[in-house]
Amino acid sequence: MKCEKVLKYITEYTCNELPFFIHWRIKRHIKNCKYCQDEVRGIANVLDFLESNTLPEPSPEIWQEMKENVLSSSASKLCHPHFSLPGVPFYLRYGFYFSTLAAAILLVFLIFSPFSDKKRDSTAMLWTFFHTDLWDFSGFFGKVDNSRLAKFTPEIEQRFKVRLKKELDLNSQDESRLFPLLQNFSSKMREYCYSYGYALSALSLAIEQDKSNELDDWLLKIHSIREKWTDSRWQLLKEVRFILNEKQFARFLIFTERLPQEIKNICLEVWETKS
Amino acid sequence: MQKTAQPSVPYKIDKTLLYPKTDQQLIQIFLEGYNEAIGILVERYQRQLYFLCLRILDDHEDALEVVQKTFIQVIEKLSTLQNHNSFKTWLYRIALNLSYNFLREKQTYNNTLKNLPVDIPYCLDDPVMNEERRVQLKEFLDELTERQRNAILLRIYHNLSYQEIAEVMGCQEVTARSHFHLGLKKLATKFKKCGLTL
Repeated sequence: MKCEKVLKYITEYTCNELPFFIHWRIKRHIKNCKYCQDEVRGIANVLDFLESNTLPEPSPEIWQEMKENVLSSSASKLCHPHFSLPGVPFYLRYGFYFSTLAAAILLVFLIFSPFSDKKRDSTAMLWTFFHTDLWDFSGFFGKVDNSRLAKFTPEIEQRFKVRLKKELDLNSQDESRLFPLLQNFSSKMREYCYSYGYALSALSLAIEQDKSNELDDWLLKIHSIREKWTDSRWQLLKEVRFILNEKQFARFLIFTERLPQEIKNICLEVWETKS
Repeated sequence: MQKTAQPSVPYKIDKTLLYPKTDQQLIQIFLEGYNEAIGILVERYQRQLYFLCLRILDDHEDALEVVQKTFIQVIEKLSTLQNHNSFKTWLYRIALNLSYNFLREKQTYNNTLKNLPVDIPYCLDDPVMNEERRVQLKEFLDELTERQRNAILLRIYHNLSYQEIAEVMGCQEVTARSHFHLGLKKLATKFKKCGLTL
């Protein structure tokens, strides 16, 4: 190897970045070449100089101060809604707001329309109109025989899995991460639905029997169940967001929107086939 | 029955869940509306960015200012970042761009920048020796092209791979590698001319 070629790769050689064979050939050349030895020493000298050139460490309080400054200077940009979900279409991201608004408009119409029953308690109606899915579920589970449901649960779950897998185009790894979450969620959901259904019936009874002193208690209970239900839904969505990609997540959201209907259909299918 | 105040936020993230997260997960959490996540990212990168800016700007206060501006810009534009995996290199690129912009602005108004006293809080080891070396190195590095200087700073002081350097500089990996080696060769020539040894 000639000096010219060695000098071309001299920095790579000094930084140990060459393939073994070229490195070995240059090493062999350098062993007998004073000029190239000096060049290598020069590069090594530069590297040592650079590495030994440390900057003084500033006082540790600076970091906390800087963090606070950054957060306070961009405070206006930091206030976005806690509901926003990235990577989800606009209409889905704000679906909750839209549905709430629609429900509110419908409610106002029902209350002030000539068909409304003026004798009924308007506050109680408000609670029944929000979270119709919970209402839907609770109505459904209220009619189902518990022992029958328990008997067919594995079959229902199996069918549900097949539908969801097909809908989201899941691979086995995602599937093994997603289904335990859903199973956990479904057990919570059933619990909330029963409690919600019970509380609603009690509320209706209180309205019918004109027990105004009980109304507040039942409304608060219903409110607390709804809070828990919303919490667990958002928890599920957040966990699922880390498992699925954007497209799958969007599909999952749409799927959950029609979840009550899906589950009802599955249950009816199972009962029809089994009976 | 006692009435409880309704929470303003329907869902709150457990703070303890945040700490072992990767950059990507923190970005995700931030975009979901949890602002504390950006604080953790600031804590994670502020020191590295400070030293990078200090190498370029050679002034403690300026470096702090640029790092702060970098993070503010990051917060503004984070939702537009397509690939969350390249957050680190994106951050470095913003810091480098802002540092050079800052330097150019400053040079426009003050051509005697090189003669400005260096404002350093305190030094380790031998302060005089360290300071001399630092000034000398700064002079040598100033004579390199901007890209060569960036490649050397990112490789030597921030241990970035050539792939990452290429992402920061917006070029091919081979180009980043050649900038680094050409820069080293130039420095070696300068050292030789000045008869400088360790």
